[in-house]
Amino acid sequence: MRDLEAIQRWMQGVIMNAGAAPADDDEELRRTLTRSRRLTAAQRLAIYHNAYHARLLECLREEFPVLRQVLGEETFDAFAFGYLVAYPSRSYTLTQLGSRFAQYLTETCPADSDAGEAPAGWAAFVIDLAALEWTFSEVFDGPGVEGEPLFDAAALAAISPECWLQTRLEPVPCLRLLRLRTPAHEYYAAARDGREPAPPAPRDTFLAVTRRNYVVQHHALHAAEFDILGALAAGRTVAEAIMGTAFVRGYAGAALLGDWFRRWAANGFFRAALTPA
Amino acid sequence: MQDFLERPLVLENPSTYVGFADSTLSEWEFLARLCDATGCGLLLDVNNVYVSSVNHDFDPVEYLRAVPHERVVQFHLAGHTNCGTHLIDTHDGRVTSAVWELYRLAHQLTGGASTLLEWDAKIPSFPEVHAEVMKARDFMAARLPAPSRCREPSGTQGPARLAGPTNAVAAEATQTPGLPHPLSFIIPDVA
Repeated sequence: MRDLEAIQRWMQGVIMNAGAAPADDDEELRRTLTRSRRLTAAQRLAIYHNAYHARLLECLREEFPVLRQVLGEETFDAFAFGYLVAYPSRSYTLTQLGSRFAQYLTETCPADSDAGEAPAGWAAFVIDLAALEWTFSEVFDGPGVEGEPLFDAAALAAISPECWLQTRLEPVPCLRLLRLRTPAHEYYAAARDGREPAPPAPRDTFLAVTRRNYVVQHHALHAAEFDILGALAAGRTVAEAIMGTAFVRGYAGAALLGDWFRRWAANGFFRAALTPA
Repeated sequence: MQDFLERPLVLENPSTYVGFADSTLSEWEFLARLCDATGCGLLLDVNNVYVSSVNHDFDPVEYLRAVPHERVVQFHLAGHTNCGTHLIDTHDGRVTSAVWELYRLAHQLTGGASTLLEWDAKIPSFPEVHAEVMKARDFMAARLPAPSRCREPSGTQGPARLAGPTNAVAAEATQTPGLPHPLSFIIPDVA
């Protein structure tokens, strides 16, 4: 009798392999599986093989509803199947299944020809939409801060001016910053509203995505706001975040800074402030 | 695991589609030995018994007669899809008449247990699902004695029945005590 673990490993391998399942003349298959009155061993194995891939495809369809609508069923399925072949499911949880879909679309995207051509803009929109829908799912499923105190307006006001520049802010674990090449979030909102908007024209777009009271929210950001938030989220001090951005962009709108910090506090982007001792 | 959780586990028979050359036991023998060795309860999915019986060319009645009846704490019912050469457990339609007949036998053999209808794809309106699950009452053996371990102090012997918000059930409930929790059908072997 063969070792159970060896049989299980073989089954897992042939079921998860996106290529064709073994045929009836396959030596290993003949040793492992039996036929029924009406199905050969290979036909029986194919039931599991097909069901496994059909279910993964179904998960991706549910994970990317707006992208699926934009691409159409057939094109979406073709991309999704290509993705599953390139990046087979490796996590114990299906919530991770779509984690690299936007990356896969980027990798397989035809190189941009002349800038501004319609296909290049279209591809950017498709990739943006994949990134956006994945981020929404990730934030929805991931850890949040429901029921916990956050760094709010009062906490912001309580930091003394002399400490402020050396302060670091701890982002909430559900905060994600997204840089897109199209305003895919506007399209997403319209499509979820039941409208059928035209695909958006390219426009540099900066978003913060977070979750409050179990509701995923997104906020459009100014480019410099995005940079400062990114620096703060990476653990830089307020001074470093602001100076770095000013240096890179020659940014001069200091008047806006106060508004931004208040808005970030109101939107619950940070959990706590770490002020210098 | 039961020791760790300090709770009895209940295992369900699956629908399966392949047979293994190295198998030395039938599924019902396997389940009987498993229950004996572990003290686990059995969740008997009658539709799965039927689906597997077609897919593996065995007699579902033999299966039902052989599983340890005293271990059954719940029945599952569901619809399946007939693919011609095999059946798939799809949970997307009505329970077929063959499965209802097996349910009747299973109910009779075990003395009854709670019953759950699984309908989780192509779900129709609630009244339709409810009507389907209430059909189960037509296939329950009449006037079965309640298992002695579960007898209420009054000693009432009544047919096992499904919980359901119908007038008939509500009216009966005033005369007979409710069924005990399904897990009380198990004699826990764990300390």
